[in-house]
Amino acid sequence: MNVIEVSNLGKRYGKRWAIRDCSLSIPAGEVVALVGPNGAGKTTLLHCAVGLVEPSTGCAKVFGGLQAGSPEALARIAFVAQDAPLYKYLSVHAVIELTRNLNRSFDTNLVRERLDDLGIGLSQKVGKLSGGQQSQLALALALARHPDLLVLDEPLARLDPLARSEFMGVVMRAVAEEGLSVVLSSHVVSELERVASYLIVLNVGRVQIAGDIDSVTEDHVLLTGPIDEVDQVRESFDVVQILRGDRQARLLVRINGVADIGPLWESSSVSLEELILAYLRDPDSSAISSPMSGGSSQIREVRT
Amino acid sequence: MNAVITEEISPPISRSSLPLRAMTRVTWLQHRSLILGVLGLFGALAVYVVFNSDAVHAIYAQYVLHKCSAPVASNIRTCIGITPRIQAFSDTLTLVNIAVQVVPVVVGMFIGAPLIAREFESGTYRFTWTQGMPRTLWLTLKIALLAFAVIVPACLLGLLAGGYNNPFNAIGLANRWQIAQFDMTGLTLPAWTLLGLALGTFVGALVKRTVSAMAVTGAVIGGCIVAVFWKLDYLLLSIGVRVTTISPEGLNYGALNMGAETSGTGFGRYGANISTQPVGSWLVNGWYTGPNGGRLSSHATHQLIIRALENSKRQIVWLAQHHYAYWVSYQPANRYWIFQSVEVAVLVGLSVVLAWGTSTLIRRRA
Repeated sequence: MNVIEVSNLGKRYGKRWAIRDCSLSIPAGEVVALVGPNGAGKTTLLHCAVGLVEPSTGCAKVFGGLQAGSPEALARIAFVAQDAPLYKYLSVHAVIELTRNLNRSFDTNLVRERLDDLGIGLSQKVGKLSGGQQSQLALALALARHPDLLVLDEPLARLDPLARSEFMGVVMRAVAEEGLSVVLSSHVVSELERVASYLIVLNVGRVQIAGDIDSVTEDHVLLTGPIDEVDQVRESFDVVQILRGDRQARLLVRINGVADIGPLWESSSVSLEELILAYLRDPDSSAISSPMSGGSSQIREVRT
Repeated sequence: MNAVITEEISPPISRSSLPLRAMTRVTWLQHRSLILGVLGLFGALAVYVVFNSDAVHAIYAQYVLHKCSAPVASNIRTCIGITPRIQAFSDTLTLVNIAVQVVPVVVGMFIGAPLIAREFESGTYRFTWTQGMPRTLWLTLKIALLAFAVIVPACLLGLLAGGYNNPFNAIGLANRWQIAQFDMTGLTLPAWTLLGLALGTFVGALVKRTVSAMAVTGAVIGGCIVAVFWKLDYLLLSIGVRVTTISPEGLNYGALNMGAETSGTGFGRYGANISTQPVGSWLVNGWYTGPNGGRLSSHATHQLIIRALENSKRQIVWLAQHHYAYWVSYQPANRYWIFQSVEVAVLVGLSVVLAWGTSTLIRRRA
């Protein structure tokens, strides 16, 4: 079952499309990293999935067919928005009370235990908490609903490295204990490799990569070889990026099962961060079936 | 070190159909300061009205005791002393009537406008509208609860203000049909307050900025009240008027004259307060007709009055002898509550439309 499924999704604000013709499926039971540069449409996609935004075109379904934003869907999804917006003028206690009353089921004790661990007092005003504490509070409130799907929009953006680690630790513990699915958007690529099992790269409103992280990294290699044989390599592989030196060229390619490379070429594995950055630099590249894949006119070339 | 909280958080709640109790708690948590502030304003106004009302009613009791509504030789000396004492409260009457009219503006600006605008401005809509409760239900219950919180005291305030006006109406210094009074009864004031709340909420959802929404709401609801004072009440009370010619006997000539002179301007009702026949009716317009039955223009009426003054000491008799007649259009007394109901229906209808508009906006504009 797919926890999120969007088809031909588009959202327009005035004349500007935040996301356009986006189709993807996010499988259940995964920790999905949604990656993309600022303005890629990540937040819009997530807002469509949790029913905050009504798509201009296409549709978003969750849990194998529920309308995004429907009462049935809302009951099973918890969302922590970017910057974890909470009522800053209320006390922590009041926010817990408020959230409890907005949900059919809510585990108050779980929140209290979590906040106790973090040293967050219930009588403190939310606005007086640090950014990290506010994020932790928002996460605790979300997990107390025992959702089937946890959606996190840029949860790490305003956290320091220690807080990021703590935050993701809580998320991963919940995944292990409750088996919930998680979708988190981020442009902190370095953190994702450690926690995510599934990767979606969104750029300029379209999906460039969607797949299991291990498969995605195994499908791509870095090839280094003579510059005058670049064209032959391009005939055999989908080339994502070419770095040209004076005599040598370095190509990030999608191998598509092809194993035969020329004797003068060396192959090396590529890190997830490197792979993602290569795709982000070239919005036209795609690792999913698309007419653009591997087209030489679309390859970004960098002279070094 | 955690702060000590003595209040125990209750276990997870279970709900059957309408989560009214839960939403009441949510509304109270979020808006208690504003609700208490506005209720405080209502209370202060009520105390002011009650305080002055006691004094006015005490004097009016003397007026009734001495049967001053029908002055005769035996009571004239006493009554001459009582009426000015009530009149001395005219400024307070004006102040009360104006202050009560401000209630819908305050509710619209301070409770309605921030309701959605603040959610957008602070981004908390992304938290609240992704909880288990659907946002249309959240909005409906929230507006309903806040409406209840302001309508009940507005109704009480309207009744109090009406009670304060009664002595002035009874002695003919004011009239229940006139603007301000007509729009601040125990029925119309809560309806105006509801409109203020609904308008503020709609504007907040449209503008998405709290201060701007407050300013726009204040301007629009204030503008509506001014429009009602200026023209709309007059137009409303002009619907289905009865027309009659009035016997000159026993009428206050000056009042009728003023009514005739200002007829058609929308201000006829200001000066022409028919307190004789039929009792409790409301003069909408007055005009003269000539011997041929044709309606006289303002200029012709003016010339006629001068001629009447020049030719006779009993001008009304002179006018009757020369076949001039004075006509009035009026609303009969028994239609008062019908018109009250019409105004309430219009205001509540507008409020419902605005609430529906808000619901549509927050579904589409998040």
